[in-house]
Amino acid sequence: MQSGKAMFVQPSDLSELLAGVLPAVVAILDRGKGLGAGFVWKQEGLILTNSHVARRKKLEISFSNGRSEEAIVLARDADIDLAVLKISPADVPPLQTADFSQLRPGQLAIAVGHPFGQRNHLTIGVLSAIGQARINEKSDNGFPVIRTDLVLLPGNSGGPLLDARGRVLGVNTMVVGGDQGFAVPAYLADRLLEPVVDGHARRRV
Amino acid sequence: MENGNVLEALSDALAEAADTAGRSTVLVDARRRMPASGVLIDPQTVLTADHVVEREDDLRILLPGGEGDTAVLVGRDPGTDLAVLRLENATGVPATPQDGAPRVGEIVLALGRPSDSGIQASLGVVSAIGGGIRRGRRHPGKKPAHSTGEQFIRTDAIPYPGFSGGPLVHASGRIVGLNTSGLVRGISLAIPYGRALQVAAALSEHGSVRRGYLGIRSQLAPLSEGFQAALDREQPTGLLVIWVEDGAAAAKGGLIVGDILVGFDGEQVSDHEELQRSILGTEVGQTIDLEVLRGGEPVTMSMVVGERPD
Repeated sequence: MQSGKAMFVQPSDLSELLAGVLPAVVAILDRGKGLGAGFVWKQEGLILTNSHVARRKKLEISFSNGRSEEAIVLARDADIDLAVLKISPADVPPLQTADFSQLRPGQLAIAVGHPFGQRNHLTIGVLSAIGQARINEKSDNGFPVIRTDLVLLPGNSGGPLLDARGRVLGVNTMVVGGDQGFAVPAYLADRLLEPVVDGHARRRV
Repeated sequence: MENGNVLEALSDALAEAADTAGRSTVLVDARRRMPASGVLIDPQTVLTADHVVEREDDLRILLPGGEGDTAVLVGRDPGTDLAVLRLENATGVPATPQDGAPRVGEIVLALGRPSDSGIQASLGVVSAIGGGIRRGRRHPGKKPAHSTGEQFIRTDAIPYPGFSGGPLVHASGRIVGLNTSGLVRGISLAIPYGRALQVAAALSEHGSVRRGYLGIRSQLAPLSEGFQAALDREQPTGLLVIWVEDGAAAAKGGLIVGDILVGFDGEQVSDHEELQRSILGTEVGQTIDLEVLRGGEPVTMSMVVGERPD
């Protein structure tokens, strides 16, 4: 951007971004009760969400167009709080993923989720830093997390953290101290997927 | 930028701003808890928040490039919550100030470098620019900021731990303010960078900041149409002088209770904030002209600005 040049964010810029990603953003429910968010990831029919959202073997997936599907949990990893679910009608294209190595503090970060059950809520802020976290006290190693200044609420868990082009940076995961949002980089979920693609789901609880 | 939209341009500009200003943002390790931040105002001078400098020696600075150095304390001013440190050996890249005053509604980033893992950012807007905020009993024994007449930028950018002393940055990467008091009753405060540089210059020269003082108390008073006609300008209010301190600048200059203060060195004075700003812009020992209404007639009197007592 040239400095000094006036810039205006049109409302349509954000709503276009939202419209582009919404078909792939889902709510995850258990017997009608909202547990969190998730999104179609990597390939049609796969849903990425938080491990703590997907504690049951079977869950209900609700798309933004009102469609409902049953999902089974393919793999969970509580150490990084990620889970991969599978639904059978595989017809919704996955979200694109951003290159983790290109992330920069200050760039826009956009969360889509269902805070307190409000469907498809958009929150905008910036990437604060790449940090280290350890969710499971028993696990040996920390892992990289994306820290943002987004205020995340119950119902944001499992939803996508997006860049300004609507590409996935990570999975919104937890709130620390109330004023800092954490997201697990989406590429970490690849380690859950590897056993999945050759047909052997890995279950770690 | 191909197929770019405004959102992407804004995102890139903010990341670029964090990167540019981050090159002048250092880690300041001068307290027992986690380190805070500072801004290089010249290659060897670091401006930071006074309250994060808890000790006067063994001050450690980590530069953006990863180089560490020790620093000496040059001076500190609790009134603006600013302190100046000087690097002993290393040099860095000084920050570029934003021209002009910050404007309400401008998009800003608060930056900090509280760890060695890189610059950190938080987004907000300039919410308001105004006088200080009462800090209640949070800082017993310290002079509250509001009593010095300093102007602060209030933002809704979340100041994370260790952001104190870091810059408040415009989308251009130029510096608008310095994050000072952190979170005071849910509001984050920054001192306008231009004023911060003035204070830094005073601290570098004298080790302290001398604030101008007249020695009066006043209250807001409406000016009748007759008074405004006598002034030959539209000015709905002035300041009615209700107390003059014996022996202080105003008394020596001839100001008496009952005068209505309407101008300061050619600038209109219609409320307390304008008077505070005018006094803040002067130096101790400088001669200024006060314009007052006395018995309905405009009178101009010269006086030498005194020094505000502690």
